[in-house]
Amino acid sequence: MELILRGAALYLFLLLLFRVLGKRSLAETTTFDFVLLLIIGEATQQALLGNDFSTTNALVLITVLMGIDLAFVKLKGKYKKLDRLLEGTPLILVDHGKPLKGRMKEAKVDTEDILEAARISHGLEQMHQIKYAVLERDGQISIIPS
Amino acid sequence: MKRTGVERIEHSLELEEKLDQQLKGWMVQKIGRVLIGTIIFLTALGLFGNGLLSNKKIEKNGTSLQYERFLRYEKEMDVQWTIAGQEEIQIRIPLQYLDRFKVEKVIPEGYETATANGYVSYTFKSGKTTETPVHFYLNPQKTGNVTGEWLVNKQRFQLRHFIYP
Repeated sequence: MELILRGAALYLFLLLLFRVLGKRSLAETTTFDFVLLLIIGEATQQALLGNDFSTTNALVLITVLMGIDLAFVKLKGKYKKLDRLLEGTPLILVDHGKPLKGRMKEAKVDTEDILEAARISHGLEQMHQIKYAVLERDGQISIIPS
Repeated sequence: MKRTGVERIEHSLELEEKLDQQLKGWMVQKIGRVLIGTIIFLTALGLFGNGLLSNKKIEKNGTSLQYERFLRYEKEMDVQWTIAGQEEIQIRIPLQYLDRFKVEKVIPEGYETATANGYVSYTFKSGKTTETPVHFYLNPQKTGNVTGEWLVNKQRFQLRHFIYP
């Protein structure tokens, strides 16, 4: 039972933490962010497994975490509000070549991020060539050219 | 919900933007960031152990006690006594208090132990009249609030802890 509680507590804590940090936090992963994630993983592992390093403990824990994740996927599919709460909604950042600065500031996205996405996805050179730029739910920026 | 600086637009995209929800989300994120900062600050002060808020020191008639108020599950802690001017030191710990801990180590070694009237007593022969330090290394085994009244040569000392999971 303790293992289930530990797993659930850590799952919910990490879910909450990454939701609070915002959707761009993982989307623009740098090398250092990657190292940071490894450290978080290591710290989490200690808390989850405790002093029990048996295979059974690891298998049970993986099953618990996957079970919680599966339950959330089901619930998000059933309740749209919960889905929007946990995953967020897409956000338009550029409207007909005009950067929406207020939205960009809140979403912590700058013009460079949008131009980079435009160059990578469509080879666009200028802001006015973008009809819409949308910050998607997974933190990626999608570009619709003019 | 009105908010200055965040643009409301008409668009032809087939997507559910839900701007009002975004605004609420950003507000929650801001509160969350403040909360993260507060937790870091309080951690630095010792809310989760090892700091100003956690360190407790009590002095009574030549006996001083130092311990941690906030503990973490299975993280060893040191209850540190300094007793002056006693050739024989008897420290009695309530069994009900010890039920929450595992005694890892007691220093100095070479003590006598006995159990009576709901207490475990440790008797040390000091053999000198200077200050004698005594350390109890305890490992928390249960979470939650713990209080216990230790007796050191019949003097009462109240210890209070909170053990985090």
